[in-house]
Amino acid sequence: MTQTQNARTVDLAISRLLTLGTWSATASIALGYFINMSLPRPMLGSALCWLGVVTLVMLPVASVLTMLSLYLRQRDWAFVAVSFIVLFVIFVGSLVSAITIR
Amino acid sequence: MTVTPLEMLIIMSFVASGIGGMLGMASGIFLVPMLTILAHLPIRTAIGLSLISVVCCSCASAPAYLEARLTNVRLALVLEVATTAGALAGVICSGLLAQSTLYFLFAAVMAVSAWQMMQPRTVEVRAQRQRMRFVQQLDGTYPDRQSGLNVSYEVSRLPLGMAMMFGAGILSALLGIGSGVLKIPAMDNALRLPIKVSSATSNFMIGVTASAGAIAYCVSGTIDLAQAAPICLGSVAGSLVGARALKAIHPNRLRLFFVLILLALAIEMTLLAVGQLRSAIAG
Repeated sequence: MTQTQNARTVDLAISRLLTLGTWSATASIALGYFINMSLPRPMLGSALCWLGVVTLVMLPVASVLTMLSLYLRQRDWAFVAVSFIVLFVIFVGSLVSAITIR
Repeated sequence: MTVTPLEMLIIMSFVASGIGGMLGMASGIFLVPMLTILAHLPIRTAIGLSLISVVCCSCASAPAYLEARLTNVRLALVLEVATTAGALAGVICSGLLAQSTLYFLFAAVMAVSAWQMMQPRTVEVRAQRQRMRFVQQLDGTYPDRQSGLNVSYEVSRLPLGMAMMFGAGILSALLGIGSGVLKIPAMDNALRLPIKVSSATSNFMIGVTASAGAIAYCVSGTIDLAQAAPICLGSVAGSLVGARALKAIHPNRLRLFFVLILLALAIEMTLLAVGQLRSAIAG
């Protein structure tokens, strides 16, 4: 595969992930509110809302993970390293920030 | 009819994301003042919620740009090294700054953004010097609808672009915004990308940057998930409606109107900062 084809594969994979993730997370939050308002099961509704929010917040990170796996498959080592660094910075930094803000 | 706090959060995030979508921006610069001035939330809570809104806007609008081949994913990934590092530095700094400082800083960024919105965006393309092989891998092409041709472009001055992106990451996490105020000059003047490519790439990047900041705020317990859920609903809907409106309306007609809104909100934020400062001195 050429570099252009490889880049297109990555573009489309991320696009699908973001579309699917955004809609499923939004549906989860909306369903959570519907359950909270109409059924006597606040725990289930809140859990669905929580799941939706977490999915949305994590979607960009999931897109970087997708890039990492695709660049690994394409044996594009430079961009495997860059994807890994971005994930590492997010992971370590989140832990450090959480401790600092507390 | 009374509006519940939940409905208010949905409406505010819808309006902020809709305006952002219409102008090709993120929602944060409008949402943070709305949450602090209208919903009377503490600025740190507003910043955390705004970061979630920015993630939602980016996730909802990025697929269209990716499918249109306007986003340079490789370049976005490289620049993300700088913006995510900046975002995390910003989250740490936010805990050290006084609320009044955050209000002042936000007002200043709003004023600069308003000025920036009135300036025409131009990109100066120059002959490239010899570049590293890695940088050459970041070059790309995009389909130009008007000419029907694939337009090639080269990425230049990557270190300068990355330095500016680090600053953009700090501002993003510190103030809960997409930080176009630094990303636009970085993309246009440092990296010299075509405007369509820079808008699409920036849109994709703000999601990752804001996500890094939002995760940190969530883990630290600054964000209440009960408030985050309505923000997500309003932001996704608002950004989709805003993007559709962007195609139908000429954004330049709206620009002046929103510049005036931004300036009014900047004045309000400055007054809030002065109020905070006075009470801190009195206390």
